[in-house]
Formats: sequence, C-alpha cells, structure tokens
Amino acid sequence: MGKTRDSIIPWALICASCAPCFATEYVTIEQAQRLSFPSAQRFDNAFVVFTDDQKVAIENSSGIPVTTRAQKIWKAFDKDNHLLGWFIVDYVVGKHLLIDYSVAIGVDKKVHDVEILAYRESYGGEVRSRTWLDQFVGKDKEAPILLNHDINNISGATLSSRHVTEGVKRILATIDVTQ
Amino acid sequence: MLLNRKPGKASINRAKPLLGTFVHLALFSDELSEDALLDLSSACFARIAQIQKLMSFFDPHSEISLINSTVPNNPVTISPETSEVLRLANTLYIDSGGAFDPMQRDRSLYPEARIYFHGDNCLSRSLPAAIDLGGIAKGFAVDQAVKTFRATPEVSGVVNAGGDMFFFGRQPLPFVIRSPYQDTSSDLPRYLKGETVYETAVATSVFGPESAPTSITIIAKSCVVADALTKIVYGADHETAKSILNRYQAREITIGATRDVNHN
Repeated sequence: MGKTRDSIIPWALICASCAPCFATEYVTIEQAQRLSFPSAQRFDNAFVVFTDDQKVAIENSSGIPVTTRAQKIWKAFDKDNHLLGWFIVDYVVGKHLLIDYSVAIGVDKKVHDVEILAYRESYGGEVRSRTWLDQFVGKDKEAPILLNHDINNISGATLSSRHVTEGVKRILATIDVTQ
Repeated sequence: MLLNRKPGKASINRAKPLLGTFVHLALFSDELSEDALLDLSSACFARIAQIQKLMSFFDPHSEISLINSTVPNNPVTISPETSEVLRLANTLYIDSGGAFDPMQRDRSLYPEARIYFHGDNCLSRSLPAAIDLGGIAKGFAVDQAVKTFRATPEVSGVVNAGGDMFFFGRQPLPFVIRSPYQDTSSDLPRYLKGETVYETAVATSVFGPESAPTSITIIAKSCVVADALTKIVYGADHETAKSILNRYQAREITIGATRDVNHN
C-alpha cells in the first residue's frame, strides 16, 4: 500500500526500452480525453490506489487478475459540472510487449470508447532500417517516412485484441468497485 | 505522436480494438488541420463499428446471428451492406468450387449449401448451416471505412485491420509483408518489401501448419475481394484461382512452405 500511482509508469517505460521493439504512438492522453468526451469541460484527477479488498473484488467481478496496485482514473465533467463519466489509462501485454490504451466509461457504467495510445511489438530490425525503407519511398518523401515508422503498413501481422478486451472488462469492474 | 511533421502538413495515427484485431488508421493532408483529421478518423471508426455490429458472428444481436437463428428456407430481411457481402460470398463460393465457403456445416452430411436471394435485401439459406463472414467481413469493413473519406479528396492514408488494408488518396504509400517465417535461419527476410501503391487494397492470410505455414497476399481493387481471394488462392486448384484473380484484376504474392516467394 505504500506505493503511489507513479509506480505504474516506470514499469511501462522499462519494458518498452529494454526489448528490441518499435513503438507506434497514437493519440496523446489529452487528445483521447477530448475524443472520448467531446462535451467535457474539465477532467479531474481521481487516481486510485487499490486496497487489498478492492483488488480481490475487481478480480472476482471481472475474472481477470489485477497486476497493478493503482489505476489512473479521471472524472469528466461538462460545463454545468455534471459528471459525464470516467476516463482511464491502462496497460496490457499484447503478443509480447505492452499496449497503452484508454477506456471511457459513461455514468451509465457502460464502455463508450476504447482508444489505443501506444503499441509496441518486437518487429524485425529491417522495418526500422532507413536504407531498407528508402527502397520504398516514392516521389514525395514526407508522408511515407511517417508511415514507415508505424505498423500501419504491414500486412500479415494479424494481432488479437483479446488482451485489450480483457483489460476493458477489468476496468469496468474497477470503476464499479472504486467509484 | 507526429514524426517529420512540416508546417502546413498534418498527419494523425489512431488505433482501436475492432473486428477482433487492432484497426490502425494513418491520415495525411497538406490542406486540413490535425483536428479535422481527428474528426474524419472518428467517422471512419464509427463506420467500422457499424459494420462489426451488422456482421459479427459472435454478437447475438448481429444480422448474421439473425440469419443463423432463422429456420432454413425462411426469408430474412437484412441491411444492404450485409446483403452485398453475402451476394459476393455466394458468388465466390460457387465460382471457387467451394474453396471459399462462408457456411459452417458438417460437409459429410451437407456437401453443398446455398444462399437464395429474394429481392434486394431479403435472403434465405438452404440448410441448417451457420453463415460466418469471418473470411470476408473484415475486408468489407475496411472498404466501407475508406468510403467515409471519399468526400474529402484532400486526405490520403491507410486503414489497416490486422493486415487487411487499403491505401487511399493521392499519396503513394509503401506496404510491407510480414513473412510467416520469423526465424533467422534462412535467407528470407522477416519482412518483405512490398510495393508503393495508391488506391489499392492488400490482404494477407496465413494457412497450413505452424511448422510449415504458407502466407498469401492479394493485391486488389477492393479489400473485400483481396480478403476473400487469399482463401481461394490457397484452397482452389491453380486454374480456378488464376481465372478468379484475372476476373477481379488481382495479383498474389505467396510465401510457400519451401520459403520461396512467388508472384502471380
């Protein structure tokens, strides 16, 4: 219980930096908040550090193990100060590495939106090598360079979103138990 | 999140868990702002979610579940979208001699299955077989997603639903094929250089045992066709596959069990 919410972040960063992977960054947390709750006027920090009882309750309710001691949660409010819902940032392990994602849950306690924030996978070094990539580049070099750093243009790398689906289930239980 | 961004040029990357995989979306524009691209991307994802809702095999409220829960030979009225996919699925099932087969059933009892169309958006199926559009709906969802950008020619980009992708707009973009052989014991690279394309669909499916997989990539004019044709090239005899590839003006790149790369 001595851990603070900050304990989540270094773990994600360490895992991301030690593996031979490449990360695709998608929208920022602020952008995801705006996209999930377009009418929100402000997002209040409501970070939670789980008690032992809460951890057990979340696991029992969702059937998914809770591996972190805390959860990054924000409350979204409209201009009249009405609660619109909760915005949560979470991490799950994808095929090998971590996926950062956000979940928006409405006051009806239903999932309104899921957004991937960062995606890391251990793709081969060839894809990141500039000389190798230069073979592709057409007349306009600006846009393709951006694309080459992503997994957007790889065919045949089918990835299951099952772990994110499980994570969303755990987040729903987390909101139910803690809010 | 933006790399190599120049003033006046906007680009965004978004991804969402949809269609049982991750749908990645990259958009570029010289004219539009980042916020405008984010709005367009939201409309695109909403369209994919709509298609998922109509055609999911696992959602008990989908139109596919409605058809599958209806007594055989009784007509069911469905949306134009589901009707369009089922018509193509039925045509490809017949033309490929069953290599592409959207009807789950005991084939020893029911070797042949048919979907009968009664008017535009009304159909029945001939057997107690479960229609599963898993081999084609992802590609269709990508095509529908791309249509949401058709009123905005200032945008180029790619929609990639777990390897079923479409490159749209005026900007030529490169694609890469992931080899099913990820070990380093052979000369085959783990990622194969594709081509730089625009207004083109690319879909890859991997077949066969894990010890000797075959990867089939189809390059076509629509993603629904590319998605379905991967299954036909794998399952149909060579002549049938070739004739269907020609009919849809599609090409294949196959990485076979002998780790050779064939273009047809």
